[in-house]
Amino acid sequence: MGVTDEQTDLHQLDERELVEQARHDPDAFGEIYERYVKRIFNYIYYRTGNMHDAEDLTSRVFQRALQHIPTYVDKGVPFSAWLYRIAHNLVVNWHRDRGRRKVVPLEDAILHSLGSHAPENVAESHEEHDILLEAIRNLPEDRQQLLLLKYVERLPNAEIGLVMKRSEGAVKSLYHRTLIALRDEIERLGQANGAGPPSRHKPSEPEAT
Amino acid sequence: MLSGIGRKKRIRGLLSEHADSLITGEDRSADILADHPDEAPQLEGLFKLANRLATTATPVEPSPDFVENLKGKLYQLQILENERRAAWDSRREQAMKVSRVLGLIISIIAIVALLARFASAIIRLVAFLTARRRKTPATA
Repeated sequence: MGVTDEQTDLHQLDERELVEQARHDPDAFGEIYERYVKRIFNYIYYRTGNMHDAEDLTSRVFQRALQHIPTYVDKGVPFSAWLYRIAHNLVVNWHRDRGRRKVVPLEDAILHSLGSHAPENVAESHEEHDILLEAIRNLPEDRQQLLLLKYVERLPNAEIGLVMKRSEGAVKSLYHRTLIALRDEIERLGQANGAGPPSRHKPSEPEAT
Repeated sequence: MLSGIGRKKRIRGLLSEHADSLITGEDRSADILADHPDEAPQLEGLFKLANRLATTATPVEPSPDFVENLKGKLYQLQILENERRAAWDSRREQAMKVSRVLGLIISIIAIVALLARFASAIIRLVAFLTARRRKTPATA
């Protein structure tokens, strides 16, 4: 099926015009969907850890967006921020319903990304990755969210701030504290596993609240 | 020499700069550490950790079937929603027309009733006056 002139026009619309048209036009909403489905899916996948739930929640995000887009109010922030907020709320509910606060280990993604490595390196990498993922899992939700938006979604701090409703400076501050907390958690897990902490000097940086 | 707060702010800025370089596929760890040797002890370990995050948290592709099926489902849902809304708007418009007509009829009935009462009152008054005139004897 070729791209019609109307579809070409939709590709060329800026976000504000597209959202306006999507209030009643299924093709326009379809364009919005195509622009954001992979990003939302990735965000949810890393927070739930499995394909099935990621697909289910992604469906619900866009169904909810479809339901509420007629009353969506443009407040001058990217439309993606609204979608991420819907996704975040659904994931929080998902965790609460399942009685879990942590992200399930991302075995699928890790195995996929390590597919090209030699077997003897894979085992060692697995252990390091397991510890890293478990450490991420042990972080508070807002810090997990920050890491996902930064490294999976590859969003700049300004856009992360819009999603998380924080200033850019607050995002930078949170990122700094998150790395420190993650490093400490990895060291703790390493000691718990008997691997011993990595030999480095930890600066005496009091963690800001 | 930067104060504690200023130094903390600079470190946060450098960490952020490093993270932004990683997400564009470039690792500026060496450059940043070379430009800021005083901060290297604090930054080096965090840079390595950030590098691990960047290589671990890779985007995952959703299944093409899932993407396509959901798109079709949403398309149908919006068409149904548009039809439902149009039907609702049409019913509401009809209801408003009916209520306007009913309102007009009731108003007319009320006016007619009021006029009837007024006419009735006038007729009774005329009848009363006429009867009274007949009863009063003519003076010689």
